[in-house]
Amino acid sequence: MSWANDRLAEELKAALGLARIENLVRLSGGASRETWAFGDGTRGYILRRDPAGAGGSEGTVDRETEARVIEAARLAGAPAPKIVKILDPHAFVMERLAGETDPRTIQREPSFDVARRRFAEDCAGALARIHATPFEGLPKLSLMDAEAQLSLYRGILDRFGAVRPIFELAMRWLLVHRPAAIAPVLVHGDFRLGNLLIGPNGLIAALDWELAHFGDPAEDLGWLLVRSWRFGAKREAGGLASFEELVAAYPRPIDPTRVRYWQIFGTFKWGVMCLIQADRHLSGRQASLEHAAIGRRASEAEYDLMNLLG
Amino acid sequence: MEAIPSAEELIAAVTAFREREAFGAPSAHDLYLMRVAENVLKIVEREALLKPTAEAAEAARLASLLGPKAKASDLAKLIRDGAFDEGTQRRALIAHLKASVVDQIAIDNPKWALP
Repeated sequence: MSWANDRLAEELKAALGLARIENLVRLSGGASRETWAFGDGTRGYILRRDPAGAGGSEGTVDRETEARVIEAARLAGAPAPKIVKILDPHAFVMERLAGETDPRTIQREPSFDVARRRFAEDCAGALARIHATPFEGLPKLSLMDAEAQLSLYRGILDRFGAVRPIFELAMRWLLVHRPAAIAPVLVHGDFRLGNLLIGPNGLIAALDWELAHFGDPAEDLGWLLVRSWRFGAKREAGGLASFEELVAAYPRPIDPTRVRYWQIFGTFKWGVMCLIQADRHLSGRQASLEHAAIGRRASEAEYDLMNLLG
Repeated sequence: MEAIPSAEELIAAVTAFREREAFGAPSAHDLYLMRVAENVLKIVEREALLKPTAEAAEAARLASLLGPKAKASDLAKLIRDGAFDEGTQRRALIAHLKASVVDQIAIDNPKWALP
């Protein structure tokens, strides 16, 4: 273990009042947040924190708010990890659950056969529970309907001085076709393969709640249908289920047109997120090869948008 | 099409990654970043090969859509103002943008293109 890791272990030991910290290791992946795993000899824990110098980006909540949303959703019956302790606005510790997040393992390993068959039902059921989380237990979150999100991303693109005619076409379409107002619910905001902890028998927990907000329940279904989250497989929902299967599995009435709208919105949003990651690198706020490389994935979203809109 | 970061900025990011101080065996995250670096250099290679033709074709299409001195930023503004909401103009615009993004994906990630 390096000196920096030793120091982190000492800090965690003190903050959590544990006798020992072992096997502290940074988990791979995750461009904007650090995830560390460790144990105390009996239980496993996960530390989720902001990398040094990383400010909050627009549309995301801080770690403390994220932890409070996770806890409220879990208490409402949604599959989510138990929060152990909020350390400060930038870090919290949660229980470590056994399961797999790697999309390709989930898509291909024979041991995940049952989980794959249950995927649409599990995801739609989990989302319905998240969407039913009572407002009383939740921290303050922004109301982000289609119009508010369009104006957020419009502002970001204008600030970057980005000249992206395909994103303009998408924004124009999304503005003209925006759905009628609907009673807002808790929206996870990033519910997709990669952020879902899955075991051989199905979905265990939704992770990465930093994009949580109040909005249209169809947004979460649409996001799950974005092509980036298929990781090379064909079927629209994470490569594991069709659009129709996912919509039919949602336990409450939901308009498929609305879901399709948010799938297009999600594709656009992912494209802008790629540019945001590149800007983190280029502005020097968080210089990293990983952020730089993601910038060039914006054209994947543009390619998909032309297929969805053309 | 606008590509961010530029090829020069991508090379600089790979160089910075290679020159950082490293101790001991590479971690899983380091190995992941090495694959990212390889991938980024392949983008730069493809761009050197494909960009000149793609840019010329895009400029020609843009000129036939908006006139000889038009820029991509003019097109962006017109789309934003609703000038391409419907009709034959919209179909011409969509054909133009599809051709542009097909060329860009051939640089950024050729595996993304659908058959």
